[in-house]
Amino acid sequence: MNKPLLIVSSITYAMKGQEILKRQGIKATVRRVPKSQVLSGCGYGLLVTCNPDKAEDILSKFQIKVLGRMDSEDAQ
Amino acid sequence: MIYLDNAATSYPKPQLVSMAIMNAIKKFGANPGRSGHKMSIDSAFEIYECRKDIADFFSAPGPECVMFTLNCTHAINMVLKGLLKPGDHVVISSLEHNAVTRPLKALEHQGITFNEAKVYPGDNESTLSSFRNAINSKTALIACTHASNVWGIRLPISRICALAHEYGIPMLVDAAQSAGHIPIDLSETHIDYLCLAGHKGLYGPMGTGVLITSLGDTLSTIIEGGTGTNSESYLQTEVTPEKFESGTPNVIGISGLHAGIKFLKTKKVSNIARHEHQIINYLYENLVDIKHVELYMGKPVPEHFVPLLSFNISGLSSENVAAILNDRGIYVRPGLHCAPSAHRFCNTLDRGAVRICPSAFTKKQDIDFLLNCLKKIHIK
Repeated sequence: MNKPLLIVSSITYAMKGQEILKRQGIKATVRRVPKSQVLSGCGYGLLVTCNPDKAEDILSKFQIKVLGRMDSEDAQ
Repeated sequence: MIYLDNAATSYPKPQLVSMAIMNAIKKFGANPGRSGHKMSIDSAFEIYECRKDIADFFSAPGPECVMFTLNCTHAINMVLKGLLKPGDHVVISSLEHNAVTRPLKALEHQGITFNEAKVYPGDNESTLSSFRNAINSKTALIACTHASNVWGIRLPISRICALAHEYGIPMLVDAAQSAGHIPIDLSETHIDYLCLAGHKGLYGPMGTGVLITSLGDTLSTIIEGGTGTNSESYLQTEVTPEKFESGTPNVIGISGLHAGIKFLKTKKVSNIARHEHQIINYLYENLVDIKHVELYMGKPVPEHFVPLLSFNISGLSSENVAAILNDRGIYVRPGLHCAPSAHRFCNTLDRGAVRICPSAFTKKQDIDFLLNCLKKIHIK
């Protein structure tokens, strides 16, 4: 199944975001993302299994900016 | 062998540190945060975990405020050269290491000036007045050591920091000789730029240092390059900590430093400091009774000193004393300790001094052996 990938600004923020989401009961996996409209080259994101809107809200509350979204299939 | 040169770098390292380094060589062999495969992510996660533990240890806002450097000197250079502009003025203390004075001297050709605030050992009010009097309308930074690497004198950092902020001036603290010996809480002291050596009181390996700041956006970079993100752009990323960590990081060293932090968290800085102060005060009390030992400071009480002291023996250079001790298997550091200002402070610029610095692993018997050797030098 296609899962949403939330693109963040660095691997540090990806790992911090993963921990924050875990504490809130949302499972997320750190994934490398390809070049996209919001990222000119390599970058990192969080693959979330469910509730991407809630996940994005939580990340925003913790000052982790989500630069954009991508379908996990596009990130293969 | 008795190692009393822990102010230069701590030895031995805790077994946990050696094991972590060995483990890192085996498990974290991939370039962290670059390739995206499991071992690369695992390496990056180890670095992240170390950032997190360091942020927690110093009560920093978060792991993104922790930048890894080569050493404390590197961290200090990043701030001085990344922050200061032509016309800026800096206040430093009269006890600074060359890690502070040399970069500032190198910046003079850009029109950046600095002056020294005299430190009064044991008299925090007078020290504070010195700093207040040294500030002028162009002062853009106060940069000073938390504790002298030669005399162990502690500066009233929290109060100097409050003074700096009263004038809207940021504060850099060189904590190379205090971290691991004095608890540092950034949520209480509000130090803007905390510069650390990973390999001294934090018990990590050499080649590790740290800059902690939540003001990364105020600093220009002194090194640019690959960070593993936004690779198509020729522009350096503005996202910290990666902004300041171009190139492949020292995963193995950072992993060792991580173990050093865990060691400190388990043992607790206050317990280690108590032990080291007992050792250094025992040494002081016995040195006072050796006729030809020249001491320069009063009793190294924890309120005003970190646990180290320097001395001389009448009629001998500090290098000669260190060479004699070396022949007996005791390792100490003579000379100027890269801090001519501190030696000018005690009129020891010509002959230097012999520095003794214990660690969590130093035993009273080590000091007894040292004292015995020093007494014999006197007898000769």
